Amino acid sequence: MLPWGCADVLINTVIFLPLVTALILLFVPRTASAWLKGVALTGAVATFALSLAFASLGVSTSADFTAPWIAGPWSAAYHVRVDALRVFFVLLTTLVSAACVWAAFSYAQLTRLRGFLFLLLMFETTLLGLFTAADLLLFYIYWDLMLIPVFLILSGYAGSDDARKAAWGYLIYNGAGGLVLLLGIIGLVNQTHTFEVSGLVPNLGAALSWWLFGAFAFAFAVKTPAFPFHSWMPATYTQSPPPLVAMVSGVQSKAGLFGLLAFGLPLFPDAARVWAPLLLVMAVASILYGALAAIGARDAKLLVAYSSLSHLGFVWLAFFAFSITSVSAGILMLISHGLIAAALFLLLGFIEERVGTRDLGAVGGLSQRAPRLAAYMLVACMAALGLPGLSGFAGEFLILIGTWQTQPLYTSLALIAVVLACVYMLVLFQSLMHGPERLPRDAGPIELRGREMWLVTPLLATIVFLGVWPGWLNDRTPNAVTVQPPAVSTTVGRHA
Amino acid sequence: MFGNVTSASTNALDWIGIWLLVGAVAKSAQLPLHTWLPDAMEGPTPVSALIHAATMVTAGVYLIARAHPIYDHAPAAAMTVAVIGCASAFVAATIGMAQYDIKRVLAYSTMSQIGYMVLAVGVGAYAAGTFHFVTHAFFKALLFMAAGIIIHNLGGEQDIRKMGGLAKRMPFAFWTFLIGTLAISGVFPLAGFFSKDAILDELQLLGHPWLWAFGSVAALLTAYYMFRLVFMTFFTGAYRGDHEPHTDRSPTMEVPVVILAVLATIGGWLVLPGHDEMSRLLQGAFGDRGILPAMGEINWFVTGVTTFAAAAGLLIAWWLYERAPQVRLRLATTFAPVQRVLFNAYYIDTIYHWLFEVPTLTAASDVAKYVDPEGVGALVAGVARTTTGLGDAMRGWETGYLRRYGLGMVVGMVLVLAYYIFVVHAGAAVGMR
Repeated sequence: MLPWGCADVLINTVIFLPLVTALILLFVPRTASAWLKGVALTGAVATFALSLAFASLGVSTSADFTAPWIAGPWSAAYHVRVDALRVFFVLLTTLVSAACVWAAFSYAQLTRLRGFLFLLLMFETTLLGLFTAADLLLFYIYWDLMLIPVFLILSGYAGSDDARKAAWGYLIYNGAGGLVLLLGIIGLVNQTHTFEVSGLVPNLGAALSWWLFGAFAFAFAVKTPAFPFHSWMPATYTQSPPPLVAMVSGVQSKAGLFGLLAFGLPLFPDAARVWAPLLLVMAVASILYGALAAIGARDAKLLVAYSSLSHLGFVWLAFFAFSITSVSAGILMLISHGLIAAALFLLLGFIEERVGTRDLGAVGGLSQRAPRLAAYMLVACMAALGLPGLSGFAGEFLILIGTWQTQPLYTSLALIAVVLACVYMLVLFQSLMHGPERLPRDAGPIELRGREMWLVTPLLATIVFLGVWPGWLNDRTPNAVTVQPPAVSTTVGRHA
Repeated sequence: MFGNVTSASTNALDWIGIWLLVGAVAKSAQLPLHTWLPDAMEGPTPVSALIHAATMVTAGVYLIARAHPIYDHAPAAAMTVAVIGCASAFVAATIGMAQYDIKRVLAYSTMSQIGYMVLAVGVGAYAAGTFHFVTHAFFKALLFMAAGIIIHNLGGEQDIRKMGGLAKRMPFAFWTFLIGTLAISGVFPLAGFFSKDAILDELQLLGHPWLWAFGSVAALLTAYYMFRLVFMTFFTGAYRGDHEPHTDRSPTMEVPVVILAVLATIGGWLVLPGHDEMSRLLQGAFGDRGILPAMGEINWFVTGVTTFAAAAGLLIAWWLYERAPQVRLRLATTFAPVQRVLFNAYYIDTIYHWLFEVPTLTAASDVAKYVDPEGVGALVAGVARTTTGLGDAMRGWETGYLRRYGLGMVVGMVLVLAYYIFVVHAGAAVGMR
């Protein structure tokens, strides 16, 4: 049991330990790579270990820390919270980040390891800050702050011109999303006069709510991303070094949908319903378009990127179907997708590092030479295609059960993607692992190294755990989110 | 699990039954979702024997039998099940007559025999369907394992046109394969006789003369294509292959086959009068529907027709392949188009290829290659270009000439002043008045 007397200290420790670790790294000599690795990994693992204490949080208890910050007509507080909803995002962040920091040892050129680890740890703090923020100003600050480490790693540490181009695409697109979010927040706070908005349903009038929710939804759709706001994604995902893309697709892509749960839906429940028809179409379009593009992709990372578009489309569908089953299943799906995407991108990174290409037509038959790698890859691929017993199935199946009750048409369309998911995931696995070997015999060892096995194993173990016992997560979340029963007859427009 | 089915409307139950059937049809390789089964025969023979013959493929039948409370109250869905089963049994048998790959013949025979089971559970003969399920596991696994011995000894050859005369060279494979063939053809007293007879008996009893008629014709076709397989593999003159066959024998290969042969022989005796263990077991699950038609009251008409069908199929195959090959060749020339259609399994695979596979894959590769980078991407790039363009236009003003900046400042100040004087000030003056 958590000693709740020090819960406030614990929250801030978890949020800022990665940043403190990053700052300590600056005092370690650039060339002392053993020290750099030791410090970074200790910090990341300690953050994860400390965050585990939150797993003991009950359904209705939460850990809060508030400090006054800005007084006056637009008041804000430094208010952070871990509750039954946020705890899962915090755990996902600390687990995936620890794995990614460890994985980073393989990639950065030795002389630049320090900066790379510094930025990854800074990225972790911005993510943790975002998922614990209970104040809208704090949320917005982290929302934009996280662009910096991603941009710097992409432009400075990936090395190619394409990566630099991708960095600008990422920054401009997400910056635009952030700007629109800021407009929405200003519009809201102009009425509420406080950024402390959680647990508050402001009385704004239908027209203003409609605009404000639209602004929030746009920013969230860009960040996730959802079709058609995803065009920053292919380049960013394919050009990022594996630890970064694992964190971006595993954790950062949850920021938008988390924002929807924590702020968007509770603040604008009626406007969300007005927007729902359009956003449901966007969800189904993401699901099907992502699945089709994944089947057509010839680049392993691009395939997984598009599969993320499709899988996160299921979560949009789940949230805007407004059924209590689908919304809490959507949270399960978010966590599950985070683990699966991180595992897939890390494993693909190991493969690319060995074989020097991501072209699906250029590799083959790796299972002969690297049976352990093939086994790990198989678990991750099967989880992504929704094999029962793994977390992907639990999320997808519960979402579809929930959405079927309110949106049978869209659910039927989404079901097509379940079949398409089998196609692209099996294509991915088969073209890498089976078939004729296309690599030269002397291509060097392909098999996973011990460190790589250890860092992916916790991700896969959690995938299996959530697949076998989804209730561990799913039983706690329904109370954490506000889902209003389907609107009966009043249209929102009439309130104005 | 199905305690409350009666509270749902018949219409709803019919739809539930239909959707469950779709799943069952795909799993059990029934029309129209059967095309995967023959292709799955690329796997090793023991895998085919276990997964694609005895156990996994029958899961669809099990699903429908388990969900029988739904089908009991959903007459339209149940009838659909029966018709699909009957059609699969018949169509697969016709395809089986024209195949040359030993495992493909067995694959289509599996589809056909599962068709019988689906037919049985569709009309509510759960006991008979489940019984055939059990005996089929024995004789079909036997056939696959025996075929595996042949294929192994021929170095991977599966084409029966390159076999022939193997009865003497591989007597063990021959005798065990023959037992399996007799069993699947429904020859008394082997396992298949009892279970197939039970299904056809029930069709007659429950009043489905058309389903019974098709089922009986399919039984004839089954005997024909299975004995065609036996004759082409083990007789029809000398061995036609390119390589001399080995004659490997090992207990690991043969002991399981012997066990299966024994079961394929005596497996049907579970239901002999006075020892009807099968019904006793199934009554727990299916109630009255779990009781097999009593062997004591044999329906001589049905049993006679079944036995006649088996014998006729055997004799036709023998006549065409052993006695009068010239007749067979003449028939083959006359009916060449028919044979081609059957050999290509009614081109269903080809149709699916063009109907589903090609459009999906084309769309997918177009999306990934053109639509996403050039369509959706271009839209965004267009927005970016507009921004850049604005920037370029603005840059034109940044000339670096101080006097122009000065001019700009003066013009700006004048404009602001003018605005203040004429609009704001005048407006205020108006307001004051």
